[in-house]
Amino acid sequence: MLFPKCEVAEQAVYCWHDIIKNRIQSFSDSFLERWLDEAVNMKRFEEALNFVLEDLEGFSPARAIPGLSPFELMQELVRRDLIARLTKEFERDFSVTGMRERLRAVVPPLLLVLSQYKESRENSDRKALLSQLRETAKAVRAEFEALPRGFWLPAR
Amino acid sequence: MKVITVGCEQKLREGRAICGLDPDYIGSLSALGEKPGPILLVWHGDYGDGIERFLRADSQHHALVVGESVAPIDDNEDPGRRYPNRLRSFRLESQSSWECHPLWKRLALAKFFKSALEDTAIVPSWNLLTPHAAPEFAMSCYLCAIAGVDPEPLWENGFRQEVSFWTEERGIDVALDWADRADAQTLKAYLARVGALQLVRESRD
Repeated sequence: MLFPKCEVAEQAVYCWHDIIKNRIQSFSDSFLERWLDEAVNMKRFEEALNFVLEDLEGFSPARAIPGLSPFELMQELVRRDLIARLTKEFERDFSVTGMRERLRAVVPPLLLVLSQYKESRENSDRKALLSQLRETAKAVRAEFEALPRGFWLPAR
Repeated sequence: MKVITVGCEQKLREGRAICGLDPDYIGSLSALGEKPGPILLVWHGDYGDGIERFLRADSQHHALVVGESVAPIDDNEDPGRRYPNRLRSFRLESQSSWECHPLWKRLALAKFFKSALEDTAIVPSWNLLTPHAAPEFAMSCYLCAIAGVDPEPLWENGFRQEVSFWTEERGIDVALDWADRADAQTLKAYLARVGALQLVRESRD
């Protein structure tokens, strides 16, 4: 029994909870290395990080409208007006630009470490990169965890 | 689609009621003169031979079993499996009057019959009898309230039906009326009570 699914929120939770908290911050080095060595895991994580960074607009409640059947009964013009107003409310309060800047300060460094890890061959390099990975992931978790868990809704 | 209700309460007659028919007669309906076309039989009582014969008589026939102790019927197991998408049930407790039934059930049946009675209907819209998965109308009104847009007047019945469902079937004890449709605070409190604001599971450990 949920609001229509907010894709960007789902991806954000996947990143900070499922991967960073439950793997990167919980696994021992050997377990984490094994997990990172699975290309499919790495790819899924990188895609999710990029998705959140690029689609912060997805938190707008205007995106919920297509998932709610009552809106099928609403005139197209009224629905468009509603979407425009919700978008405006969202942009005023959520500050997409500021939020994106904050995420751009933490996500690319994590992506870079992941990329370097993939290229690395020496065991000593990998150990150092794992340490960097945990550090950069910590910063991403802090930002992602503060994001809405679904569509943004006004506090009032 | 022709709708025949059998043994139903008086008020359960948004379809063209023909009361007092015996199972044999129902079973031989398709043999009456010209091919009658799709028929929806609304049977008030237990599932039994009469319905089986009716469904076997013509693949265009459908049946809805209504009653106090009816078991849910779907396509996954018998008897629903024998008649895919042609047989369903709807629980309706015995009440002293039609008005005593939960509003959501009355509205759902009315909408269902209206749809089934349309000439173009070939298969009943079973989904109209499906319980609500989410308080969509309250959610929609809430989004309108945030944006300062009037909720669609056509939503009133759906809204009332939905609130009735959550009250009667899910025990949500927060009163919400159509008059509250533009009150963001009240709607938000209601959605929170229903659990609809728990957008992503908080506890994922």
